[in-house]
Amino acid sequence: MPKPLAILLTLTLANTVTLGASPTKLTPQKLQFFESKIRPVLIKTCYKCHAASSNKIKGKLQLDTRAGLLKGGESGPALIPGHPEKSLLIKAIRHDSPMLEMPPKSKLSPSQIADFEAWIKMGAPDPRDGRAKEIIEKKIDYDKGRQFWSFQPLKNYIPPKVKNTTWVKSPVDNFILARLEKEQIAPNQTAPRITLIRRAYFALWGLPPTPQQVADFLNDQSPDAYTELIDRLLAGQHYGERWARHWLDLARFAESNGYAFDKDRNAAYHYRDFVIKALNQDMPYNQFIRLQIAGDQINPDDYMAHAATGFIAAGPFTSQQTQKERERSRYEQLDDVIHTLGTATLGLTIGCARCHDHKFDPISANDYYRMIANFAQTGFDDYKYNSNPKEHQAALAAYNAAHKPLVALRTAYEKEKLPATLAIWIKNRPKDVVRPKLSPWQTVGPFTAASFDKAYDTSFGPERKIILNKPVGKAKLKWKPQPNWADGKVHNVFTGTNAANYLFRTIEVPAAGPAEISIGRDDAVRVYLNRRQVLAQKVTGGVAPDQAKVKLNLKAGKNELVIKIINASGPSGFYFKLLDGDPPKNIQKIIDLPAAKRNAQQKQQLLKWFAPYDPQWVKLNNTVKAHQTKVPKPKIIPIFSARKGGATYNFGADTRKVYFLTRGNSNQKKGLASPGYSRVLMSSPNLEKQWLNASSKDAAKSLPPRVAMANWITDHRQGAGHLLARVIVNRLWKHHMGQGIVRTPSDFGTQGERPTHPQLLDYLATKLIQNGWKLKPIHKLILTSNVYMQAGHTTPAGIRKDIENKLWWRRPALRLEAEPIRDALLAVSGTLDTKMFGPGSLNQADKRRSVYLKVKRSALIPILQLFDAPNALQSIGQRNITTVPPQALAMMNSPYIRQVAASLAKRVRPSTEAAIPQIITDAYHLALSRPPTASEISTMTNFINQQTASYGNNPKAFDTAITDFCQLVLCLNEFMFVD
Amino acid sequence: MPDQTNAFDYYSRRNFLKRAGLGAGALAFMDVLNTQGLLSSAALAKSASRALKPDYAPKAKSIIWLFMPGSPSQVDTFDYKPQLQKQHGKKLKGADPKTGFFTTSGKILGSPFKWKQYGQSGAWASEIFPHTTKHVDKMAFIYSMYSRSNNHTPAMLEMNSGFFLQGRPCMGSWVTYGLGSENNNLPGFVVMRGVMPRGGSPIWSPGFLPKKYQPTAIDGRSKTPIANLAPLKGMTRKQQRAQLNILRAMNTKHQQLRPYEADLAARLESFELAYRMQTAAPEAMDISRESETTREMYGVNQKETNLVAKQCLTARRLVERGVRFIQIYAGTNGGGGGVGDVPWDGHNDIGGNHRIAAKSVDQPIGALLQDLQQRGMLEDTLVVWGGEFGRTSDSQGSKGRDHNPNAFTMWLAGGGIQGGVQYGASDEFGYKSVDKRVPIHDLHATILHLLGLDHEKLTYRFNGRDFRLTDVFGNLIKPILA
Repeated sequence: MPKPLAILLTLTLANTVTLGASPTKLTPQKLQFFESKIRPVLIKTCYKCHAASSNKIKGKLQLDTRAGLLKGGESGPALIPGHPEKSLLIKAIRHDSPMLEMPPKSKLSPSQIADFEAWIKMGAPDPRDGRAKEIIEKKIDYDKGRQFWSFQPLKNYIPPKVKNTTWVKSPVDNFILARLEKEQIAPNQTAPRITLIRRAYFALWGLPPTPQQVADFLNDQSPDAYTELIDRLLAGQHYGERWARHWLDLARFAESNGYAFDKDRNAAYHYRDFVIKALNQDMPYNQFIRLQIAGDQINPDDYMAHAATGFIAAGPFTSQQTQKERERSRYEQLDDVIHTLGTATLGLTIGCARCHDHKFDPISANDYYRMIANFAQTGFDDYKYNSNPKEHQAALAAYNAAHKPLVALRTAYEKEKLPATLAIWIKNRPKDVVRPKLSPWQTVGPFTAASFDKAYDTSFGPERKIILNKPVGKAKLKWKPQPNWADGKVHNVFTGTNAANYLFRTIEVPAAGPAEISIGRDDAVRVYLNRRQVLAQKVTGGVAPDQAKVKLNLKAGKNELVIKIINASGPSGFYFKLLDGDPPKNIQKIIDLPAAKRNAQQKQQLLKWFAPYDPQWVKLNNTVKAHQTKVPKPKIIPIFSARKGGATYNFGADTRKVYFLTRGNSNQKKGLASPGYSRVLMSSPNLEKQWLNASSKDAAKSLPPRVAMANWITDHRQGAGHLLARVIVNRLWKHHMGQGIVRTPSDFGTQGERPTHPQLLDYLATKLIQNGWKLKPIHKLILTSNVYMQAGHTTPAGIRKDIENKLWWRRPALRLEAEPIRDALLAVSGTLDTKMFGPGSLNQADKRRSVYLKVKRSALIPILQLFDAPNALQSIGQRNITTVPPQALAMMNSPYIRQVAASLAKRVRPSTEAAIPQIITDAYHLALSRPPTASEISTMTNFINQQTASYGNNPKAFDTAITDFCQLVLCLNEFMFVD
Repeated sequence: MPDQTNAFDYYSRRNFLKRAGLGAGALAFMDVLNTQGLLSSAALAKSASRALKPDYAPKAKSIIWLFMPGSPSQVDTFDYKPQLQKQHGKKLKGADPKTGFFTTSGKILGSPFKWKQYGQSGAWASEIFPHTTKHVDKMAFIYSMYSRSNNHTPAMLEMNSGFFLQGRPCMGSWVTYGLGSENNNLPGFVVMRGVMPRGGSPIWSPGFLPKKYQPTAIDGRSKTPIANLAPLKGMTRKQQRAQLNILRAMNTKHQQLRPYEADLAARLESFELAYRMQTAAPEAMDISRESETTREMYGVNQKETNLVAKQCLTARRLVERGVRFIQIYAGTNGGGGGVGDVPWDGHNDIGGNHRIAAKSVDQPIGALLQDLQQRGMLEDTLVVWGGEFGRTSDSQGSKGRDHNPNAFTMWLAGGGIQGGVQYGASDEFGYKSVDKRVPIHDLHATILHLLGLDHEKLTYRFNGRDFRLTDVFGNLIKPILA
């Protein structure tokens, strides 16, 4: 074995191998090598997937002809003759890259690998003629693609004529009834008012009507009572809260990163607030979408615009990443963005075109990478939004106006008075330096406080008065002399957690003058000279020499120095040294000059040095400094949002680039992708440039990609706007009716369902655009239709002909989603807190509406999860509604529900006089928006009496029985299924 | 708007259809069902279109997955590599120091343990599993596992859901979606844990599957493992029953007026199920009903093994009662560089770490296998053992091992597994899987197969796409099948 190889290698080296595509000349030896070493291995291990005979040629790579090898597959040529190191084939069989390991199941033996290396080195001699099988690539035909119903332009349909015109309340009804008449199914009549009010309240507010609201509506004789009710509900603030939750599902909104450490995004709630506000002010839907894609660039000064981009930022992010995971994770992040955007706004599964062209819809992988390239520069973090720039500027001007005179006073003093004081000081200066006399240290402590801050802030006594023979403070601690504590050394001598210790000594000088000390501290320190604070440092950390220097103005005679050391925990100590009070050398030189000979600069230097020793100057200076702390700061609001250059996974030079990838694999790049859009959603592909460069006179200077994308997606004439409109009106319909006109609300592609009423869908979408993209008129159009207002019961004809109610001959009862269930519990029990906006709570027992509960991915709210709230990882257009025993267990046994029932019980039994039938009636009105029937009163009365009896002598027996009854009412299907 | 997947719990639906006699055409039943208010036609269509039974005869009815969070080292447990001892301290050729989470030395680290062969099959194992190794002839070892993540949470997600990011359903959810449970009074999918493993509950999330497929997660250290199971304080069973009787009467009346709203009937029934669960679940989890001998066999009475012993014994009791899928996050580690949420993560000292972690699981696992066999349950109970990846053959520091997704060992035993099989191989240092490499998708495909499910047919449509546990991959590992 080693021998022939050696010969061959010699041969190869002796031969200059032809490079490039033309294969080397075949010699008998080479041929023999190929036939004995290479071909058998190829046949045995590769042909199953990489030959013309394969069922499916994997990776478009064919290894059964020479041409196939040289041409290669998706990842490029399999080999470069003469260059094993550059040949993919060798990389693959060596299993160099985890993403490219061939054969996939088991590795070739080292000798086989060596054979292949040698073979390529000798020029890859290969006698196998024949062409690589043409792999016919299915090219997407976009023109044909645009023929599909959802990609076609909107058509403006006129509501069809119907026979039973009396049934029609809104143009919507014409579309529905025309079809029903054709199928000979009679729709239900309008439901009674008592049903309608509960239906409408939950639909628009997600809350039950109060008994008073029900009574008012029932008593309203006006024929417009219902329309007015809808207007009122649409104008109410609760509308935004209810409908924001639907949108937040689509936005996979959460307030934490997700994954193992699930870091909080405490500034993410602004996005939720944006959605509520935008809906309440009926922001045009196209603008609503534009801001969510590129608000930061469209309107950089606007709070709402920044908060809106929380939409693209809301996806999960894993903070703990190994180097190898980061690039892959970035592409996942971009996939999350495009997938969410695609399904939520366009009902398109763009994400399916990541590894290959979309299998069913006309979206190519090329489209996919160009779409995510719009977000290449984008990252997500807390944007520091200045919420009041104008107010801040005004405040700053006022501050400056007040500050100037203070500085002027000091400047004037420096010019007019200080030189004279200096002159006197120089004149009176003793010729011989007299060293200050320091007394030994006295200490007292530790004085403990509730917290470090308290210990720092509390005056325990010595800062005000020193009487050495008297105990100090409430703790009655005694001063202790410390004659052995030498200066210039670190003393770790103190104890106490969140505690203060005091040091005291006197400094005696014959004449007033400056001195300087150097100190160290563990942790915080305050220094007082003659009861005036001269230093305050709220810091933590170990003690060391010379951590701070303090200039002292000593008066003649004894000066009192107090040092307060405040300790957080662990050891504590101090350091002290008196510096020689002599001026530094350069200053001494100036002092030594005769006054007349000092130049201006020297005079200035001297004054500057001297000033801190002059009490009057210090006073003026302190005033300036104290005022400086009042400088107005801009009111910065952190908003978790998207922006160019924001944070993302960092993996070096390619971090903010998007490449075309083979099979979605970030280890297999095929060139840089530039921004672009789905071609099937442009009336002509040439238009793409127009959006990219729109509204820019300079063609070379194009719009930021996200802004351009926002324009494309909302352009209903030439871009994706027609689909955008169709998808949102269908979502409105779906939430009101239980099912969409398209029953796959997030899939308008070929795999999704077809609209049951395509003309109605286009009618609503057209109306939306005609009304300036405002959603409230569309709500009203639907809610005032008889389709919506009709009763829910079944009819034999309906069941026989259309059991699934696809033609809308009835409006079925719907189970409430998790949030309205919880909100209704709060409302009914009289404990709802209607405070809007701002950070939310993680506590499910919080009293605010559920939309304000914090969405933390690893700590989702149990009661909401139980009733199918989403897990905030992917866009959800249609929640599952499940019915499982744990829900029943919670209703029966959870302290939470019991507490709600107890609150309701208190509400319906305000006094001990309340009669049982009245209690029952009140509870029914509150919880079910209707009076109980006579038989219900009788059944429930019996129940309450029995339960009371069963609790025996317990003084709370009756109260408990009422709570049992209230809990029972909350468990009724009628409570959470709204007719 | 009855969502078709929710008309009724899948398993109940299935039992109901069974009772109704599945032989006749679906349409004939529609009226029967509708008069009972149990199914909407959409639900019926769904039931009829999707497999109501396994795709083929299952070999295993239940599965107990012994998940070792933090990941045991293959070369210190079951994948014997004498070259490591021989070349200890020498340079490991081709080592990538950035294979794991930290940086490794590139120097070979010999296993600190003694090795020998066990059983008829002669499987090698280190000394740290004296109990488990009594059963090697029941096991099929896969020495050539590999995964794609070198970081705990993504790797755990990949092991459970086939994908390294959050959001996909874990296998237990897929299986209960596909098969349901055998027992209506107990959850079909149960997760048992001690310290919450790294990654938290999202690693066993039902993802986009309906919430009914999420596991009941039990903290083995807690006294009230299932939420809201105990009736309210101060309310007797009789008082609760009285309340539920009225509820049932009222809900029935309400439902009869709305016979086509399937969720109403389901919810009516769910209160009865819940009522029964109140007694059934505590009974199932009460290991004090086991004999002293049994408890001792598992190691309930020893401090080191107590937690895992309780979990394994409970698992057996749950399987007896028809629970479909049980996953135990097993191992405690009070030292040896172990961190509670990844007890097998021997970065600093593989020997110290693994002795403690192995001690905590070995006797309980050995007892579980023995107990299952004694009771004739091993035949249709599949037991799976492994971590989320392997560990490096070169050292981290002087005696630790870093993460290594390129090779690790798992074993399977029981339902449908051929005992004594040794499948695939890593290289001579145990560094990379080289022969008959097994990606996680293949493991998933094989386990689903044993449970009677075709991994290519078990799909769920979400946001316009049919998803599978195995994505577009997955091949059966036939040689380990009985």
